[in-house]
Amino acid sequence: MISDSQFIEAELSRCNKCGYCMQSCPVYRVVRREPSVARGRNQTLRAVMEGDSDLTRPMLEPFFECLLCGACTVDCFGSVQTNELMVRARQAYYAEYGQPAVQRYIFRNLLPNPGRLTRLVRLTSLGKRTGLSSVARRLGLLRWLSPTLDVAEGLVATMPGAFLRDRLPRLGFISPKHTDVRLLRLEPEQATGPKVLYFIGCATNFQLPQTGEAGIKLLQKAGCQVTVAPNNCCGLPPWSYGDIEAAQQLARQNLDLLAGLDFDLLVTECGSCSSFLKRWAELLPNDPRAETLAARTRDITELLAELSLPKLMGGGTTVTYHDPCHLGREQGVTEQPRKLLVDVGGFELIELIEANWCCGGAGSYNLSHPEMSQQVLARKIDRIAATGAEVVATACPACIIQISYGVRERAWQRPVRHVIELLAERHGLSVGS
Amino acid sequence: MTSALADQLREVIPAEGVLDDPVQLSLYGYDGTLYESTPQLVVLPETTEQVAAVARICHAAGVAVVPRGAATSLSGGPVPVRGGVVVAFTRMDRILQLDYENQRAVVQPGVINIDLQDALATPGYFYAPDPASQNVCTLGGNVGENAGGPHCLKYGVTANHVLGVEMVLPDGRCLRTGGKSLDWPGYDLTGIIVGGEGTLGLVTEITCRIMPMPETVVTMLAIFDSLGTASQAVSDIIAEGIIPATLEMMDNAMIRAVEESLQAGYPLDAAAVLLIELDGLPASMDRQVEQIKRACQRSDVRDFRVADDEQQRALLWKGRKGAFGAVVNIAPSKICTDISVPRTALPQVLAEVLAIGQKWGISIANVFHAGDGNLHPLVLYDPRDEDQARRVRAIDEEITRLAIAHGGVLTGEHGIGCGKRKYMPLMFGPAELRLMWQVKEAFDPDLLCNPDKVLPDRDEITESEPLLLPEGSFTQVAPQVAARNEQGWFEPVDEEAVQKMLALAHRERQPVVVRGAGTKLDPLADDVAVISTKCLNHILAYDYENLTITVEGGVTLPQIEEAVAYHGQMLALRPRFAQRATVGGILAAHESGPHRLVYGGPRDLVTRIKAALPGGEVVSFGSSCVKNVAGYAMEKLFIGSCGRLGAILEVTLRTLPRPEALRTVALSMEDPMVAAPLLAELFASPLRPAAIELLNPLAGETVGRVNRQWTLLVGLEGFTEDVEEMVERLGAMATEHGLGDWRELDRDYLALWSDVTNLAVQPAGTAILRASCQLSATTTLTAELNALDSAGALRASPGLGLVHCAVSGKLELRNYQSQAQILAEKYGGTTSWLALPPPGLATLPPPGTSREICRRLKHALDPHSILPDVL
Repeated sequence: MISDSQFIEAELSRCNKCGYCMQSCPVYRVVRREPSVARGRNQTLRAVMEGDSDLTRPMLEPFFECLLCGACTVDCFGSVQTNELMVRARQAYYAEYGQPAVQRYIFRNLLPNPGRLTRLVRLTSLGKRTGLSSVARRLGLLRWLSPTLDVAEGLVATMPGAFLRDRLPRLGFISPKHTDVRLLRLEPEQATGPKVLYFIGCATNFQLPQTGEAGIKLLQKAGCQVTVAPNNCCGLPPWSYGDIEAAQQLARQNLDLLAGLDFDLLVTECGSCSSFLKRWAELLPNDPRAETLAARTRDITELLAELSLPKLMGGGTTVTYHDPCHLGREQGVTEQPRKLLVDVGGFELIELIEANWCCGGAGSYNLSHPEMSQQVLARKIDRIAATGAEVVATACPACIIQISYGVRERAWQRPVRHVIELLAERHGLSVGS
Repeated sequence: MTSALADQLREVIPAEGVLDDPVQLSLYGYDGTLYESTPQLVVLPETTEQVAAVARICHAAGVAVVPRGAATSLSGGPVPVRGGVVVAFTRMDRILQLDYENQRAVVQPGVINIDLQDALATPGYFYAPDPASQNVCTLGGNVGENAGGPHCLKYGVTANHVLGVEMVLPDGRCLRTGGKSLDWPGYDLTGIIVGGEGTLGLVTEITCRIMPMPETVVTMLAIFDSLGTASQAVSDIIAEGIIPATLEMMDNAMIRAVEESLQAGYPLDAAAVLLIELDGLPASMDRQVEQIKRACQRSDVRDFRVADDEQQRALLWKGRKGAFGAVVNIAPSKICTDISVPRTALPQVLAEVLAIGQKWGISIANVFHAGDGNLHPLVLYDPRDEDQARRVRAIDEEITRLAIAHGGVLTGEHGIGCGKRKYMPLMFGPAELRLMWQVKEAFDPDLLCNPDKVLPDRDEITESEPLLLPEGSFTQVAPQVAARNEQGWFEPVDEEAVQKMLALAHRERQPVVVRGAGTKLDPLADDVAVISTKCLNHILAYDYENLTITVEGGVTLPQIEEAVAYHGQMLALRPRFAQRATVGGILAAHESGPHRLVYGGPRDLVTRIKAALPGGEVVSFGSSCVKNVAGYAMEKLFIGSCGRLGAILEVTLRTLPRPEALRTVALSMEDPMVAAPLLAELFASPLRPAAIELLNPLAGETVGRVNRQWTLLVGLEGFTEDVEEMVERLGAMATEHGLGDWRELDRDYLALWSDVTNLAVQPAGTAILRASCQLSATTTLTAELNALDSAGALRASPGLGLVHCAVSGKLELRNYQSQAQILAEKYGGTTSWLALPPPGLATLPPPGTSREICRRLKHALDPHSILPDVL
């Protein structure tokens, strides 16, 4: 990842100002203002680069208001990577004006220290399972993310009883002496699949442990020998906020933690994590371990679609599928989740119009820009309603949290689940909530 | 100043809808071109009232307003070249009404074209104009630029589909033109506003036509080894009598660019690929495809592919849709030029375009609408290289001049904007430019609306040569200019004589009327001199491959029919008195017959008009190009003006291949209301009858009515199989509605319909009132009008929302009209007498801004009111 002005200039020079980026920018379709679409964001960045103006934060809000979903790049004749440009812009902004202290603390001190992060989350949630946003509030997370706490408040309904990592022993994982590594051994005759290193994403661990559990059980059923490493955050959150250094620090730290482990593929159920892990080679161009790891990374839906899971006959349940940006657009994994739902899950798939439009979750965007996030979400929920499907499936925790929130707001009884959770359920693999 | 203005605007627009931050302002200073200019302020209104308030404030402050949609424009149109306030319509994005039974949609200008299409798709309707940017461009922008698109070959451009607008004038007052029903009194202001590039006012609401989707679509791809043979194939396809929905071509440079980035399956060494799409009824599709294939084979097609399913169709389109994007991989940037030439000139123009590129050492790739002669040479270059940029500017100018040299126009669909203003004198003389300026001033006297667009600076326009006229009174001089016939009418023999007659009348304040064949004659005041165009009866040019014919104003339809018959073509204009009426008269009266249903009216068929004005100037607007958005669509002003603005000297009209089969079927019924549900179903179906008329018992005599019953008459035209299928399906529909059997009328098709159109049962000279209404109300209005005067013949066109009533001698006309008017208004329409109305009975545009603008236009063109004036 070149963070120099050459990259920015090369990207900007390909913007013909044709405006075709307006077609599927979820934010633009809500606000219909030029500053809030790739063309406007890029021209704002150009003004910054050319030193045309005295820049203040309100004017630069469009840099922070971008979902980074990448839809504009697909529509762009010149494939201008506006999302990458916005990350650079944020980075430059913080370099100029300084990063908020709390943000810096989270990215540099909390995320690289999973023990500390876990303790904090546990402390605030124990006894009073009040939901992630109030946890976030207590952690001071929201203070820098958003002044409009109320809007963010309802995002998460409940906190799970136990985090995924706490559940590993119950799932049959054992730990070799003196390490934090957890192994789930299979009998040799069962181990027909690849050796999988399972990467637990933060959102899955804290908020959707049942999803991770489902993933692990499915992999096991498919003959994979699963190892869980004591990884920490993949680095995507700081990177999204333009703190590339913190992202690099996290990636390096992860590489150290994973060093020496025996595995064929690194797998995660979080579309965001898998997309970012695949980009580690760019993130750490001088670290050969990053390249090796990136090449071995698979999203769980990608891998499961290749493995031989028993096929189920149609159960008549209708499902619609939302493509997470990081999985679909970024990794090109769009067919596999659908194939799994239909072939392995026996669902009847009803295609969602604008299935690949961002739901507004976008990592912590729903906390940083709650109002915009909800308006983006409203369009998604309308489209989901139009399908009439009984179940909503997707493949990224951020999307699950966001879409569940939208569904709850409309008082629907429609489950919003990760593909693998639905599959596990259809295959009778019990998953604790 | 600016901040005071901002404060004022914030009083009428929610505060966050007024932008004044310099960086944000700069984002409203560009479009899809290289032109840039920062506005003083930007407003994002959400209602018409807000727009009006903004206009009032700016008008009072003397600040310019510049309308802006999605700013995908390729002409610099929305760039605020003189600063001012940009009025961005992106938040006025509500679809106000989807009125399927009347086949109309009412939308705010910020609605994105594709959003309207998506909303229409589920019930199976569509809005025809589909510009390449339809996924992002707004309908307001489409109206401003009179946008086209691949499908306009068959369906026409935005001007053919927009029936009315609401517009805030630059002084803040509101103007409404047209509406859901057709043929409103007054000049065709809608026709001028569409394509007015936002220089006449701020359009705040659009009423447009929507249509049931075609039942079948077939997409074909033909690959050729030379551009010449590909162009020949295009001509041959049309010579086969086929008008495809689209005919798109790409040249070798474009093919290579597309293959490099998209792999659409085009051979790299092919000289041209032609993308052909047919739509319509399934019955004739196989044969049409076969005919197209044969036409291509005659031109040595290398490969001919037909898409079998949606996936293959998408693949064939993939290259075309991705073409603009593909070139980005060849060069950092491009300029997309836009010219339009008669289709016959295409091969030559293409060759010269490539030569221009070679001369300047710059690559040019071509992708174009081959069917209608609209080219978009993409000039590929690196804008950071100043020398390349200089050469590209030279190329742009040479390509523009090339179009003019070949009888083409400055712009086919992108608009003049600020980029091509300087070229306007290439296409228009000083008289035309001055007249366009007068139109501009009629709407925007203070020149505050999108200034410095479209028209070249006024002081750059040269003076015209004064016309030399002998001294003396009208009575003395006129006989020297033109001879008089036995009725005492002046019969000028040529254009110049007409010009002199009008100039003389103007100088001497002599009231005159211009007459064609006199089919719409009404009593004349004694002091009025008559100028007959009878001697202007020459056919000037017939370009059968371009499907256009140019004739003088006094030419009659049979003359044209004779001329075009040899090439198997026709002029799809079948008004009253088609045997005698002159083209000039037909256009002036905007006369059309029942077949307007499928072919459109004069407004849709005319591409150019040359007229003599009372001041003695001769002006020509339009061209023989089907697609032309250079300057205001002034030709539309003369259509339906009833000779109040000038004398029509010359007209260019679109011809069409003559349909293979022509059949008429009829159904009888006691009560016209019985037909209503059948008609509703028919209009919602993909069947496209050529004409549908409901005749009262008296009118029914023309076609041999049964007993004393009403007759529903349907004219079907097209390929034999399609007509056959329509007859069958109509039969099934009627049976379902319990209406029994259609009987086929064997009389000569055109003669039969001519009698119907003329209401031939009436004695000559009977006054005919035309009532309009929304489509779905036609039968009801028909029944009610019939009750007003059961002794008169009446024919209704339920597909057009028009009813023609011959008023029987027993009734007093004024009284009759006022009763009919009340009925028509109830159903969203109005009434008017056909052609020049009996004295004192003309229907006026509604009082207010619309009438005022019409009056200003009249004054601009005919300051001494020597021509009839009813305003």
